Amino acid sequence: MNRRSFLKRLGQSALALPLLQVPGRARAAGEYPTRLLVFFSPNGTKKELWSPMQQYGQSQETGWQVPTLIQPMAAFKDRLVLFDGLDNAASQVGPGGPHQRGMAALLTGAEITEGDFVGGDGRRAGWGGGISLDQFVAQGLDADTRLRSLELGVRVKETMPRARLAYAGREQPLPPENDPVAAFQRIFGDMEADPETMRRLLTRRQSVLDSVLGDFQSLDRRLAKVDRQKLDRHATALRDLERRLEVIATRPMLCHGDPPEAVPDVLGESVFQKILRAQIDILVNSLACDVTRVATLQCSSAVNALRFTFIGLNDHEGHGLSHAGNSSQLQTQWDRTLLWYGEQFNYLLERLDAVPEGDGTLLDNTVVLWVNELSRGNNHSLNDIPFLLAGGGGGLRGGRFLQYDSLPHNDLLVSICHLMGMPVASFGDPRFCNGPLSGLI
Amino acid sequence: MPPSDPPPRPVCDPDAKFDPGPALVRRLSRIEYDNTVRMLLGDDADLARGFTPEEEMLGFDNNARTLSVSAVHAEEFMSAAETLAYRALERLPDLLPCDPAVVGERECAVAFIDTFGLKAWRRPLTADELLRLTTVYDAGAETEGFAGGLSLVVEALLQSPNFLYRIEVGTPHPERADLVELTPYELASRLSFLLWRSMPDDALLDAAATGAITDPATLMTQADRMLADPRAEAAIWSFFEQWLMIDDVLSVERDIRDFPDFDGRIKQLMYDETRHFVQAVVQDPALNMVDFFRAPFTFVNGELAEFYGFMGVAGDDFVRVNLTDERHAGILTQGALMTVTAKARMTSPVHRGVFVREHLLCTALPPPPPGIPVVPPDPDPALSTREKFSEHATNMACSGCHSMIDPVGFVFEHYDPVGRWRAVEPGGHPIDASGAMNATWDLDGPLDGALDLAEKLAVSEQAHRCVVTQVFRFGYGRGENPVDGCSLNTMYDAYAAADYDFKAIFTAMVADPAFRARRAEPDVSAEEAQ
Repeated sequence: MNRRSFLKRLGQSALALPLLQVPGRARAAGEYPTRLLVFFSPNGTKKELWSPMQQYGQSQETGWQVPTLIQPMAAFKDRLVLFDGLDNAASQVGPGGPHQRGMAALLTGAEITEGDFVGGDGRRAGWGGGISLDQFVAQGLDADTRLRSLELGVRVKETMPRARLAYAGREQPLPPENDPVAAFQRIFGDMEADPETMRRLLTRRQSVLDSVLGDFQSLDRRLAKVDRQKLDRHATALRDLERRLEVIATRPMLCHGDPPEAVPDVLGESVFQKILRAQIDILVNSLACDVTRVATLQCSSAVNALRFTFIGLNDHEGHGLSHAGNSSQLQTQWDRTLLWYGEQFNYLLERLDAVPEGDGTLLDNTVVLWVNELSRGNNHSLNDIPFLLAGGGGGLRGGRFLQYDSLPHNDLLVSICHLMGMPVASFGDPRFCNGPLSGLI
Repeated sequence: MPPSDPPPRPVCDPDAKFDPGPALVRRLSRIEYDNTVRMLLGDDADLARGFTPEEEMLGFDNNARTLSVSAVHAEEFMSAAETLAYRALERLPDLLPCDPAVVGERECAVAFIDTFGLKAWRRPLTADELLRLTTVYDAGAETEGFAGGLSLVVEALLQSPNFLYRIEVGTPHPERADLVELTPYELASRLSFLLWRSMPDDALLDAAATGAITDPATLMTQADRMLADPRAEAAIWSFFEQWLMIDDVLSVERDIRDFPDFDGRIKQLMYDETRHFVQAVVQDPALNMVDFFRAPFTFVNGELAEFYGFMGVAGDDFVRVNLTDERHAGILTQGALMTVTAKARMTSPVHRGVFVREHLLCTALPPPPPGIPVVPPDPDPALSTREKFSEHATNMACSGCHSMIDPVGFVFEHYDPVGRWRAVEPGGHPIDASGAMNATWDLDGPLDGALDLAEKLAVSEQAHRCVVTQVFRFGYGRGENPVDGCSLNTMYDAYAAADYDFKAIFTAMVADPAFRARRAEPDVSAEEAQ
């Protein structure tokens, strides 16, 4: 069924907050799976308005005053963990500019590779040098869900390393889906299909995929190593597709939300907020309906040409504003964009908290990680990144502010693996990893 | 430190062993997928337009390193194959080599797998492959009959690595164990994907089947035939629109209060303007790449002429207009290029300067040094654009690199953010379009506006060498390496000898020995099996 006929059949519904029907999901508290959700916003923040220490001089772990940029999420103060002193250390080596390196290392904890992207220090930048946290966790969970993971974006127009967050492995970027209608179709498109039809389709597709996998097996192996790896990855993707088709044909969809409204130009500036909220709705529904347990949501990319026209800021792009000098009159406009991101993050938390699960909510069973490729835009600083955790997944305790003395952020990535039930000793490049953060879990 | 020296020239060591450089497996890009389907199935649905966009490298969509496949891609390929197979059933009589009523359904299906499979995979199928696909046919035919079985075969062919990738295994080189020669079929695909961004046609497949294509004279005859085909025109435009970022104009956004008449129609017309111009430069025997930089004409229709303020053009059709106004010349001053290198409310001398350095002169610029504030221009309307960027010249941390960028970008100040000529800036500042070039082979010195730069680029070896380098990157799907010096020099020499005829670069690339060979890779199947 194509997208158009699908939408026609369902009717164009507005982006209402769907009331989730969760038949057969009455489980005892504690039986709900732990989910991981990574939220990205670009170009750094202002730690002097973000950190209790840097704004108010407060160093205590609990009971701090809510800093200005955390105010939009003040209602969730008890579910947040703020960090000072975590550096994106792996991004401080390798070729390329700070945005490229920051993005490539952000979820991989690995040095950017050398490639063909101009913008290097004489060398050319490539891609992330390892698997990203979300993909690593998805592999480790090995959940029997329709999707292993979900990568959504909003106006991620560029197709280059500074626009990629998720990596299936070294130099294997996973592009995010920018169109809520396409995302919904992929996730929930078969929700009303009759099981008998789905089983017939599965049989059909399996004979095709068997043949295609046979082609992969009989390929001549006298190829460069990178080529063999590339073809192996494709075969792995096909096996994953086969698994997914089986799940679709054999397990009924637990629930779904309403389809999003079709927007003519999903990459347009003016619809940025609208698309972001539609993607948040899809993402929350996907977690609530157990379509996937791991997701990333990426707001544009590290160097973006996004003007915040939807809040009346017409003159400068967000990336340009982030470069405003410390005494520039543009600082107030930059602050507004940072507060706006806080409001969107708050909406995400509200939506997660509106889904009941046992005695708590979906938010209680989710680890939400907010990341940024820089600490500060106007000096491209890659130290003291504004990492923020939210939710209660894996027993995470909120309401806390943790300070470290310039530790690599790989340690945070290790701790998140622990929260997700994977007690790894190290993540990413071991040169930039000491093990889990002390005092977090 | 900024590169104060010009970029190095390609070096060809006459004593070095011949090395064609690495050749990686290449997946079809979206354009290539659609072009191939059009030739293979006669289906112009262009389904790949809806696929996930390619990761671009060096500005091109066909870089071998970036074209990998994730779960999302695999689903897209499956969905497209199912749709295409279903639609192909409507044209089954055209595709079948036999009549099932005469020879029998299964016999005819096997013949179809053999003949259609050769086209789909751009080489004959092995006995094992034929058997595997016959099994697929049998499975489908059992429940869905003859047409259903064939539909499944088409799906399997289109999702196969043998369709989706160009895999060059080659045959042993007669003298060198470290090289392989491409097979005739692999050579045919290299040629057709270079010149057409599509699969080989019947004539080329025939030349592969007989082996005639490996004869250098036959190869060149085929190349000439294909370059004269409209499919080559489309492929060459695909190179230009990516090299010059012209496709970006279709999605660029400008402030509607400042530029209320810059709408989707104008964006499309600007795109069409440059396409007409490039087509003329490439196809018209009286024009060449010198004209590309400095031609005193462009192509507009009535609506676009009115937008630019050109007089005397009416109607929807594009016509060539001579520009004797001393305001326009060649590619540099065209609306699309000036628009994609500007910002929403102001011009961007930095973007325009970087464009000239990276895209037209092939100079890699370093990123800003770590830890220094990178400040956006002060929006004060009392300042001219040049004044807004003055810190770049006075701050020592910035000036090293920005002395290479801003004085080049300033020469375009007469062209506003939607590519129209202007006498003064907003705020009434008179335009100062003077600038300067440094760190080049042959362009150093003061610049007096965009037309002066155009004249200098038109006769610059560095600029024309860069055209060749860009074609190399596009053609081989990778960045150039030091070992490619001989190929690059050969291509440049042929291009210069042909009086800068753009097509001569492609012809020379095909004639180069590197086009017919690749480095050998060790057989690791035994080691992998352990």
